[in-house]
Amino acid sequence: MSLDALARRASFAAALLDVLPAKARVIAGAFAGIEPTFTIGDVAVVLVASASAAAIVREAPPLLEPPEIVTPWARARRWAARHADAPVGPVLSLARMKALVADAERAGLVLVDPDPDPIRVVVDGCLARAFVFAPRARAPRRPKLRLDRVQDAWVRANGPALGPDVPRTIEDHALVVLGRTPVRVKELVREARASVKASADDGKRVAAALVRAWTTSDVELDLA
Amino acid sequence: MTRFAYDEVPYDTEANAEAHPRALATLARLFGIETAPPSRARVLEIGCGNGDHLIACAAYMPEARFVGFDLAEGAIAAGRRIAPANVELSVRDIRDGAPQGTFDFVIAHGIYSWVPEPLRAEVLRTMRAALAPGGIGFLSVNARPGWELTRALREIALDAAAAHAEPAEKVAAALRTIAALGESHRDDEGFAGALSAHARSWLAHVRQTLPPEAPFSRYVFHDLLAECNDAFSTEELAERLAAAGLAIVCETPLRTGRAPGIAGLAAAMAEHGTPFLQVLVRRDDRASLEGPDPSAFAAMHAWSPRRRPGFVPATEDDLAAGAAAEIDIVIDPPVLPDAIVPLMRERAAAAVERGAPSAVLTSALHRSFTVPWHELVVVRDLDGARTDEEIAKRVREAVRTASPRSLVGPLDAATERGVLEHVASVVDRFERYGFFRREGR
Repeated sequence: MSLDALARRASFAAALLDVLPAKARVIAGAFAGIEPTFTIGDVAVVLVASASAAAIVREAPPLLEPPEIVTPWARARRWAARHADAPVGPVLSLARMKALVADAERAGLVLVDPDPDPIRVVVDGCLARAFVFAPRARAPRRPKLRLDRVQDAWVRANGPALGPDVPRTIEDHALVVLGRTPVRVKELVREARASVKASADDGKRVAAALVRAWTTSDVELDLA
Repeated sequence: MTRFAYDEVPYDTEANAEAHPRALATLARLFGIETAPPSRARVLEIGCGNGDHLIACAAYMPEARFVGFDLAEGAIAAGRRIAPANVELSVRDIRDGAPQGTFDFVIAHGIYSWVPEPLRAEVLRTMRAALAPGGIGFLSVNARPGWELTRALREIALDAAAAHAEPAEKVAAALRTIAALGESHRDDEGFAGALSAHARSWLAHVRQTLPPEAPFSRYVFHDLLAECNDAFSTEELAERLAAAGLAIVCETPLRTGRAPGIAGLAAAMAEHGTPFLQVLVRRDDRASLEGPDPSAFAAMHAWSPRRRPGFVPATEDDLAAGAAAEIDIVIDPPVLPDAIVPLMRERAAAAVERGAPSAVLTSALHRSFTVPWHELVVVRDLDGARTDEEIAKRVREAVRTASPRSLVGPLDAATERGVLEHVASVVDRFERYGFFRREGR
């Protein structure tokens, strides 16, 4: 996977957490021994992959059908098929991820994340989970996701269909119509709204669902 | 210096059907290699633990010679106490190489994935040095990509165990965390759902392997929580073997319907997500066939429930059934030497007497080797019984009087029924190997 795709993820993560410095360039190289990592002004971003998830995407033959096979391995292969084009970051063990966070803290960098436990990387099978570090003085005490910024982002799926067979909610419909060609999130919300009764918080709900899907590499979000 | 982990927490080793010399010789012949006769073979096991596998094989093969070594002093001492005369067990570091001489079969089961990387080369080097020219090695490893879901469980388990010092506490913390994972994310369509499902099936496996009176799962301690535990792809394993002057003959147990060679095996492993690979290995100066030779198979013997009693000459149709583990296929029908039967009975009686939940006792050709207590009772008490009624009566009496410590008071009716049903299948199995012969069969 290209360095560029990972750099874009790093940049979007910093914007989503509201720590993106103004007019800063993304530069590869922030943590010794982990490549690639990125510095954006005074913010450092490491995109980490679960060793298991990365290996399954790389080595397991994708399984598209039949859905009635529900062994753990068949489920993993179906998941792998949906992530065939996902960017994959450096593979780190859970112990190394924890050590990374501790090392950064000692260096005055705070992990900015509303859900900071690295164990989620392993459980969710993250392929490029962004660990965003900001200088202690600039890091928000309680990090929050700027979902309003997602509205202006472009989104595309990393693999075949994502949504449920019978979509019910606005989030379901957004994922069902989402393809591999990038679309504006605003457009996606508008299209999904055609299938459900509109509500004032549709945009926010779809944005939250897309961020969840972005965290687990089901979709790519990009501000450019 | 810290104690060796296997001395601190002994490992519950078991005999392994697929690593029995007869099973190895059978597959080797199918793939074009004629080994020494198993009954008079020289067998080496690297990392033999307490020697249970060698002892189980040796008891049935008094003319064969079995040598095993391990770094765990306690395990070797325990094995020596019960080993027959044709088994030599010693404390030895793999870095010191193999004991002197060459061997017809060299087994390294449950070791390669679990030792530090530099020692893995030593394992293969030792196997190569010890193998006689026509010899067959047996190697087992954790296999990628199927093991990757277990790798995720291992990372989570190690994280949960890190806060604890005692092995039992580490295991308990790991199991709690994995059980919680198995309960959560059940309906998740993503990776978490697959991992949750794997957590549930892995826990079921652990429960099955846990002896009833074990204070905690030593298997979990030495496998999931082991300091070293790595998996290898089929191609990677083949490359490592080649670097040591060795080559894969075939997998075991053999599964049919696959493309031949390493590529075929690798594709099947990835397709099925098989997390564990056992292979037969040859020296690279000897050739083997890419697939099984049907003409070799025709000279073998097979047993199946449809053809009781005993082993009969195999047919080509048996190959698929044998590959599916529905029948046993061997070069020669195994027959218990008369002298062995009393020894088996003695060991069974001693195990029942001390209330052991299980003991390794029978020929490793059986599909289940650690014999649970009610099977021990069968072995101890069946002598002289010839009819189904006699057998049932003796078993019922024995089961009622020989409950292990884990059972308080007499068995309830449902438990007894379950035990008796199981024992019926055990009786069939023991009869198959000539342990006794029922009338009218």
